[in-house]
Amino acid sequence: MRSTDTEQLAESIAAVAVAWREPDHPERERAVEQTLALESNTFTEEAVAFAINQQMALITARSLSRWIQGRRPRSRLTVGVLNAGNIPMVELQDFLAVVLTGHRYVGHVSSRSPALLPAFAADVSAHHGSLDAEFVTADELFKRVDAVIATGRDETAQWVHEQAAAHAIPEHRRLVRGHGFAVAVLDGEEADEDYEHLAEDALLHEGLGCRNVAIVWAPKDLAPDAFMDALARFRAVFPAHESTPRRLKMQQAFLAAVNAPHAYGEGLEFLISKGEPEAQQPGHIRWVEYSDVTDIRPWLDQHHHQVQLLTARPAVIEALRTGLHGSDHPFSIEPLGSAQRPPLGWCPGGIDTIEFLTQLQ
Amino acid sequence: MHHQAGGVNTGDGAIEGIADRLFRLEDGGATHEFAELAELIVGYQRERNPVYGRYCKAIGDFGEQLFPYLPIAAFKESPVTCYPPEQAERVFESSGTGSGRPSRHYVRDLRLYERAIDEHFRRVFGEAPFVLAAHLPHYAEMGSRSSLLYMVDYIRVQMAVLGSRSFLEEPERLSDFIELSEQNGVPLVVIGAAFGLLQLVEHHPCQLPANALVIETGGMKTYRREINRTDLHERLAAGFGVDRGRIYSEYGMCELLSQCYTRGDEIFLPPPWMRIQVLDPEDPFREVDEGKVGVLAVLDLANIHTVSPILTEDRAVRIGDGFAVLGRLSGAELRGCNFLLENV
Repeated sequence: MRSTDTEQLAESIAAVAVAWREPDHPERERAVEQTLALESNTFTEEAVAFAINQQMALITARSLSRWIQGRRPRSRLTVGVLNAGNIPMVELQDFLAVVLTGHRYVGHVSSRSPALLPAFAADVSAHHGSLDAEFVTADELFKRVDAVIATGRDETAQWVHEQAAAHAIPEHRRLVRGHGFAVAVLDGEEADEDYEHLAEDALLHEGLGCRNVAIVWAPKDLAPDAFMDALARFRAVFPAHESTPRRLKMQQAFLAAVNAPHAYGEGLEFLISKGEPEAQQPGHIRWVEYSDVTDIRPWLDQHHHQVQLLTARPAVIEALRTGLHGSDHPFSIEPLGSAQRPPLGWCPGGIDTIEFLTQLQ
Repeated sequence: MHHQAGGVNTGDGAIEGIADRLFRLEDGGATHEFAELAELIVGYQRERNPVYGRYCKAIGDFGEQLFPYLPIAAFKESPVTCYPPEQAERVFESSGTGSGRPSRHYVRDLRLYERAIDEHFRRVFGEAPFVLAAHLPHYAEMGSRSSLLYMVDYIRVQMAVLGSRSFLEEPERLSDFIELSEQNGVPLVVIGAAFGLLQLVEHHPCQLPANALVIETGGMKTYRREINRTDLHERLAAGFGVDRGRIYSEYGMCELLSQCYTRGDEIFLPPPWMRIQVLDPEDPFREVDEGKVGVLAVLDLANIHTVSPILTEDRAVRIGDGFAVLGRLSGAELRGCNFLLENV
């Protein structure tokens, strides 16, 4: 793809993104309706709107150009993407990365979110005149592609590698990302606004997603009351999916059974417990106490493959950066309130997707 | 469906009597007898086991679950018993490969465990005797804390001929057991951890007699990479030179006194005193349809003095009265970062 072609495509994508910023844009409206009608996901109307608005606000011709930085692959290949569909529009970044680097996109969308990305892609195709992108089943995908991108646990990774090998896709053409979660670090100086940001980081999308804050590190004597209040305020704006209280009920009963300190919101719209630094089920936030912020480093060293993102106030980030200096941590470090707002250039698992795509040959 | 224990004698004497009734249950036997025993035992546990009592009180409505299933992680957090835990005859521990902290099962009466082993093993594998060759790497160092070692040793002492033993230290000596089997005119049973048996056939391939049985007891993750049960059975059958129908699997864990076995296929069948359900991981009060992937819940009535309804952390599908195990539930699945969830 020549640079002018990329620029034209970026402009088409940006124009479609502008249209998609409007909730009543017909293609968006239809895709959202289809998505919310499904029983296979736990998306709420408010969370879907948030995800689309957030992603569309990022997309301008300029931001796309800054992200791609003129990088182009030596050869044009067909790249298959196996999408998780666990949160709305999570598929967009890989789609944009593939088409903007000039490869052909062949995607498999999850039954949990089969409508949003195909509708956006169709809109881009209509606006641009054509677009080398299509959606197929997972089995069909491997027959058609030269390279593959997927995310999942170890067994999934193994399955992808086996399928890829069976279809003669060499190892250097496979990007198989691991999974993970985010952690937040507090220092007790947080304002109400910081706690509101953290509430969004932890509760949006019902705790699903690999950037979701699952563990909150807090100084030993810090009471979680202010955070609890922020969680309740967040739930007033973003009500929980109807399945969330049922899912959290068993965990709340478990905590009661083993006498573990915990608290929960009215109607079990969120659950927070004190204990070991272990990620709990989505929507259940683990509050972990530390005596000194440096105590967290050994845990981060040990769990850096699972941690996708560390979020904290700028002052805490600064203290942690000093502490983490020289360590080879693949996770991002971003301010509170960033978890559900990944930038275009976010590198899941520390891997730059554009770099992978441009190195393909 | 809700069940209330109410109004039964839950004294220890009544519970002793229940154990006898429990092990007299037959495969496919009267469901009302099972239901009556389950009500009695779980009612007793709700009353006497403080952890389970608190759990039931907090859970309230338990939807489509037979009884409220206590998440298995409770065994890592505190003693889960209907009696003072210091009165336990033995404490079995998990190997702690998951989160690092081991589960502890406080067994009040080892006779219950032995009866659960004995009754079901004989039903599945026939009456003894046979030659038993055991290969259980990594469990040996757990010693008396390993419920699997206890089980295998019990089977060896009660059902196997003299000369049956572990051959962990000398894997090349498997041929000795073949000879022993021929001399005694009884079948050979090789029992071992999945990864250990795979390594064994890779390094010391041998031809077992056609009537030999191989029972793998799980532990596939510790192998160089995880493999599925179909591949495992095929490799073991090829490596031991036996028909695939001679390869069995055992499903057990330190928190359960009962075991389930496959019978030449990949479907685990529970003993008559055990029931299973497969629940929706995203809504654990809902049972998923047969053939759909979910999280395995077991009702093991042999766990009389601890807790019978347990929610495991295993992914499974229900097939008739049995189940196939697909691996462990992982954080990736719970957070949805896994495109395969719907496709497994």
